[in-house]
Amino acid sequence: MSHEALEITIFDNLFSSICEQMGESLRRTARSVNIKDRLDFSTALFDARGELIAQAAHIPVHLGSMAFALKNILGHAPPGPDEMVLTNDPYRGGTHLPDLTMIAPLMNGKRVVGYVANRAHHADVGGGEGGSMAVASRLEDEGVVIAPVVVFRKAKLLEPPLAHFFSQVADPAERRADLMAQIAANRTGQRAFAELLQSSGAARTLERMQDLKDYARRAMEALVETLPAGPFHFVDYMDDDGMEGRDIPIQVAVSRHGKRMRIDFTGTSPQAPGNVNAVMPVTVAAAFYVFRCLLGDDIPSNAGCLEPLEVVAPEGTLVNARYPAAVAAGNVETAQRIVDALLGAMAQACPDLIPAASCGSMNNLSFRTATTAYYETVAGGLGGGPRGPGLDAVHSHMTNTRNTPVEALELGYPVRVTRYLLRQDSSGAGRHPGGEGVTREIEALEPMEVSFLTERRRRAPWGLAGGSPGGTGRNFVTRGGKVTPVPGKGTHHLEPGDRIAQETPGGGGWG
Amino acid sequence: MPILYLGIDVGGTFTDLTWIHRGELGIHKVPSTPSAPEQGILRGVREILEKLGLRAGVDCELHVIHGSTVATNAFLERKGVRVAFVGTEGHHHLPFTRRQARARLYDLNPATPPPILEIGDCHPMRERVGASGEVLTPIDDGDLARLARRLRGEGYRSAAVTFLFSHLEGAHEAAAVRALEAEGIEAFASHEVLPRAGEFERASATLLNAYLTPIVGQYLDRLVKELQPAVLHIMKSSGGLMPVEVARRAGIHTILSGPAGGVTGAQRGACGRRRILAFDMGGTSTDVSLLEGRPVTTHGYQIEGWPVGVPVIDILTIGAGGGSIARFDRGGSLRVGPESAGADPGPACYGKGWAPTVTDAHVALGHIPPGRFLGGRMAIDRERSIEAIRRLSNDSLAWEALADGILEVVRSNMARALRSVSVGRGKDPSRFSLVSFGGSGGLHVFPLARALGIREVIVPRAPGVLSALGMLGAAETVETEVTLARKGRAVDARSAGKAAREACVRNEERLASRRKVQHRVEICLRYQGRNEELAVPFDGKDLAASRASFHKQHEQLFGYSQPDEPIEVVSLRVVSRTPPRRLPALALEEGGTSPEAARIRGETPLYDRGMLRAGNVVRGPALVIEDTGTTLVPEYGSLTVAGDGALIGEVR
Repeated sequence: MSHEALEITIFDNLFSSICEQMGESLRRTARSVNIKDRLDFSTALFDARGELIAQAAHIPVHLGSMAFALKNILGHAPPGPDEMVLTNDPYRGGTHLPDLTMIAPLMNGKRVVGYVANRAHHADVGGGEGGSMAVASRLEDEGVVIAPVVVFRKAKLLEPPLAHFFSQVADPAERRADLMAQIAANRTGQRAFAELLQSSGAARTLERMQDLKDYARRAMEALVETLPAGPFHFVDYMDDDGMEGRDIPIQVAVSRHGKRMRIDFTGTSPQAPGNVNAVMPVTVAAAFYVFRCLLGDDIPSNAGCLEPLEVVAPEGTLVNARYPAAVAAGNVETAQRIVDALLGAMAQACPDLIPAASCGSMNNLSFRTATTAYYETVAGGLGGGPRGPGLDAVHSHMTNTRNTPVEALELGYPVRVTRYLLRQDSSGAGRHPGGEGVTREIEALEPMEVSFLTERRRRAPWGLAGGSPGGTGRNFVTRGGKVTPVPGKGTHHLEPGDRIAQETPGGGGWG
Repeated sequence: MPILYLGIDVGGTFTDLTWIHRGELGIHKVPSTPSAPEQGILRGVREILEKLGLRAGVDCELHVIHGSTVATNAFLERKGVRVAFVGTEGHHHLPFTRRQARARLYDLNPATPPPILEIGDCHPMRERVGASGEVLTPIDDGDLARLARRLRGEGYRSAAVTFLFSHLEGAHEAAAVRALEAEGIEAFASHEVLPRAGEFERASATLLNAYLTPIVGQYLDRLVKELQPAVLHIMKSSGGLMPVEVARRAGIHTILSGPAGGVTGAQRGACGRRRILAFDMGGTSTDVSLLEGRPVTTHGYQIEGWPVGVPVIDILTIGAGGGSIARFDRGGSLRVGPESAGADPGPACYGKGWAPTVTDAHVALGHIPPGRFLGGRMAIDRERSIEAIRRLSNDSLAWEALADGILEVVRSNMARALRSVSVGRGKDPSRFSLVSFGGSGGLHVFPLARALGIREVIVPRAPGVLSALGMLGAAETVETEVTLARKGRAVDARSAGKAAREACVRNEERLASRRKVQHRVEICLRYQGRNEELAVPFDGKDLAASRASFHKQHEQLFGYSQPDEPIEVVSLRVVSRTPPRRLPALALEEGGTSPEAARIRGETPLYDRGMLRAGNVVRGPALVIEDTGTTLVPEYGSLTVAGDGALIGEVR
C-alpha cells in the first residue's frame, strides 16, 4: 500500500465528476426526445492512448465499446487541439449507425494528454423506408455511414462533411441541434479537465489516470481468482434475423486461466443476412457488462476492468461481423442475447449470483413520417434471481433508457398512445418469479412507416434453478379494427387510425 | 396582546425549540418522543411558557412554526393509508410502468422496494384528454358514481386521481374527486397537487400525497387540539410556511420539512452573505445545497425512487458522515462509507465495535479531544481509534497516514457532491461562502473550501438548532405553476400576462395573511423542442425581456446560446410570500482581537467557543470546541468572531 493508493478514490471522484458534468450538459441541451428524455447517451474520459479512465454510468452497451472508436481514430485521424471528430462507423469502432460518437482532445499546454467523448443515439440517420432501425442486409442500407471526420474546428461546426448526412435525414435541424449538444458536452469536459490540471497538478493527475486502471485491473483479477476454472458452456438463440434465418445460435465457453478469464464464442453462427450482426465492440461490451456486475458497485468502470478478460470471437460470425453486414439490431438485440449466453455459462460457475434470463430484447419501435422520425425502446421484466424476484417493467442489462412520457410523445409527434399497461400474465413462475413485461399500443394520426425490431417472440427468456420461463413477447398491427399478429421484426405502413402494439416478454423465474 | 413565536424542529433524539420574546431570541431542547412526536413538543412548549411566565391566549398570542417528519417517517416505514389509484383507462398502471429505467446499472438482481400500493389498487376510468387540452372521450358521471361506490365498498380511505393531460384540462379529475368525496373517500386530483406535464411524476406526487396526507392530518389535528389556542404554521419542503389548514390537505409538501428549515437557518446564520454553499454533515450522511439570495428549489427530488414533484429545496444527500466506515476494496483502494457504524455500535472510540470510522480518524489525530466529546457527556477512547485504524492498515502503512487518507477520501466524496450542486449547475464555487452546520461539519469545512477554491467559510452560532431557527424566520409562501404550452397554440405576452395576474390573485386568496404580499413571477422558456426549460423573471408584459434573460442564462449554464433559435413558452411559476419575520440579532459581547481568554490548553491551541467574544481572531492551526462539534482551523486558515457570534473563516 502506498500513499497513491489513498488517492485512487479521490481521483475516481474527480474524473467521474467530469463525465457527470458532460452528461448533464448533453441532457439539458439536446433536442431529440431520445437523448433529452430517454437519456440514450453516455459520456467518458480516456487517456492519451485512448484507454477508458472514467465514465458516467448511463448505457452499458456504449461503455465497453467506446474505447474501440477512440483507438481507431487515434490510429488514423486524431483531432487537433481545437478540433472534434465525429463517427458512427460500426467497422471503425462504432456499434450501429444511430450511435454518433463525438471525440475531443484534452490538452496540457500543447500536448494531448487524453480525450473526452460522448455517444448519443440519434432517432434517424437516414436509411431505407423503415428508418435507421429497420431490417436491412447491408450497412449502407441502414443509413449514412460517417467515417471518422473532423466536424468542429475553432468553435465552428463544419458544414461540408455533414452535408450528405443532413440531406438524408427527416429533421436536419434536430440532428444539428443534437450535434451541437454533443459538442457542448465535450467542451464542458474540456473545461472541467483544464481546471483539474490546474488545481491538482498535471503530473499527478496523469499518473492517477494510470493508477486507476491498475486498480480496476487488480479488482477484476481478485474476482476472477475466486471463480472455478471451468470451462462452462452455454448456447442461446436469436429468434431470427428479420429475413430468412431462424434459431441463430450464440455459443460461449467461459474458462479461467490463472488471473484471466477466456470468453470464447467459437461455435457461434456465421453472420446473418439480416441486421442482427454484432461488431466486436458490442460483444466486448456485453462481456464487460457481465463481469462488471459480478464485481460490485463501487469499482470504477475503466479499461483496467477489461484487461483480465480475453474475448475470442471468430471473424465473420454473429458476434464479430465483417463488413458490409447490417448491424442495427446487433447493438440492441444480439447484445442482450450475448449477455444471456454468458449468464447461462456463469450460472454454472457462480449459481448464487446469477438470475434467470430477463426480457432479452430492447423491444425497439421506430416510426417515420414525411417530416419527423421517432425511436423508442420498451421495457420488459427482469429475471428472478437468488436474492429475490425480478423487477417489473424496466430495461435490462445492456440498456437503461427512460420511456417517453405519453404527454411528451403526443405533444411532439402525430401519434396517440392508447394503451400502456403492465402485462400481468407474462412473468416466469418460481420461488422468486420474474418481473412482468408491458403492453404498449400506439395509434397513428398521420400516415407513417413503423418498424419493429424485437426478440424473444418465439424463444422465451429461460428460468433458472427450476423456475419457469417468462412469457414470450407478441406484436400486433390493427387496421380498420382488425387485429393481426405480426413477426418480431419488420416494417408496416399505417394510415391514420391504424394502431401498432407490442406485449413485451416477462423475466424468467428462479427456484 | 404581544405575540410569542416558537420554532420547533423534531429530530430523532432531540426536539429543538427556539422563540422570540420581547426582541430576545431563546433556545430550548427536550428529548424527542418518536412514537408520538406531539408529546415532546407539548412538554417543550409548556416548559418555555413556564420559564417566561406566560399563558397562551391570556398574556400572549402563541404562534407555533413547526417542521414535521411525520410524513417522511410514515413513508419510510410504509405506514401510509391504503390508497386507490384512479387513472385514464389504458394508462391506469402508471405507478408500475413508471419511467422504465432501473436505479442501479450493474445489479443483476436488484431488490424490490416495499410497495405503497398493489397493482389491484389501480382502477381505470373511461375518459381521455388530448395534447391540446381537448376532450377526446368525455367522462361519464354514472361511471364515476359506480367506481366511487365500489371503492368505498372495498374500504379505501384515500384516492389519487391522475388522468392524462389534466395539467391542460382538469375538469375530468375534478369530477372524479367530487364523486369520490361524495362517498367519503379523501381524494386528490393530480392537476391540483402538481399542475405540470409528465404523467408519471404527476401520478407519483398525487399518490404520495394521498398515501401520507391522512396520517399527517391526524397528527396535525392532535397537535392543534393540544396546543390550543396557538396558531400553527407548518414548514414546507420548499423553505416556506403554510397554515395548518393547508397542510391538512398537502402532506407531500412536508416531506423535506426539517432539512428545509436547516437550509433557511444556514442562510440566516450566514452574516448576510448572498451566495452560499450550505454543508450539513451529520453522523451518517451529509446534505449539501446551493443558495443564491434564496434557496434553490427543484421539482426533481425523489424519495426511494418516487418523484415528489412539488418544489423542494435542492438538497443533495450522500452517505458520508462521522460514522462512515473506512475499508479497502477488492482493488486495494481506500473507500469510506456509505456504510455507517451509526450510533450503535458506533465508531471504535465509543468502546463497542471495531469499525474504523471518520470520527476515529479525527480522534486518532487529536481533532476531538477526549473528555470534550458532546460537551464531555460521552467518554471516548483514543487508543481504540488508533488500534482500529492500525488493524485496517494491516501494518503496511503508518496509522497516521491512513487516518489522513480516510479524511481525504471522505472529503473528496463531499467535494464531489458540492461540485455537483455548483459546477454541475454552471455556478463557480469560488464565488460562494461555505457555510457549515451539523455535528461533524466544522472538522472539514476548511479543507473542503480549499479543494473547491472557496475563500470564505462560516460556522453560524448555535449550529445545533439552526433548523429550528430557520423555521422561526420563515415566511408563508404559496407556489403555483400554470402550464401554457399546448399542441398547436403559440403563447403571446398578453395571454401570459393575464395568466400571471390570475395566478397572483389565486395565490393571495390562499395565504392566511395578505399584508404586504410579494409575488415572484417567472416564466419557463426553452428552445423549441428542447427538454430543459429555464425559469426567468417575467414582469407580466415584456416577454422579449424574458427571452433575453433566457439566452443569457443559457449561455451561463451551458456555455452557449442560440439567439436565432425560436423559443417556446412552457409554463408560469408564481411564488407569493408574506414578508419574512426579522429575527433579533444574537448579539455577542465585544472582546478585542485576542482570543486568549477562551484558550484552553495544549500544543495545538484549543479554544472554547462559548468564551470567544466578538472581534476575537483565531489563527490556525487551532481547534474551536463547543458542545455540538469542533471547528478545525488548519495552518492556512483563520477565524474572526462576528458580532452575532458566527465564526467567519478566511482560507489563505
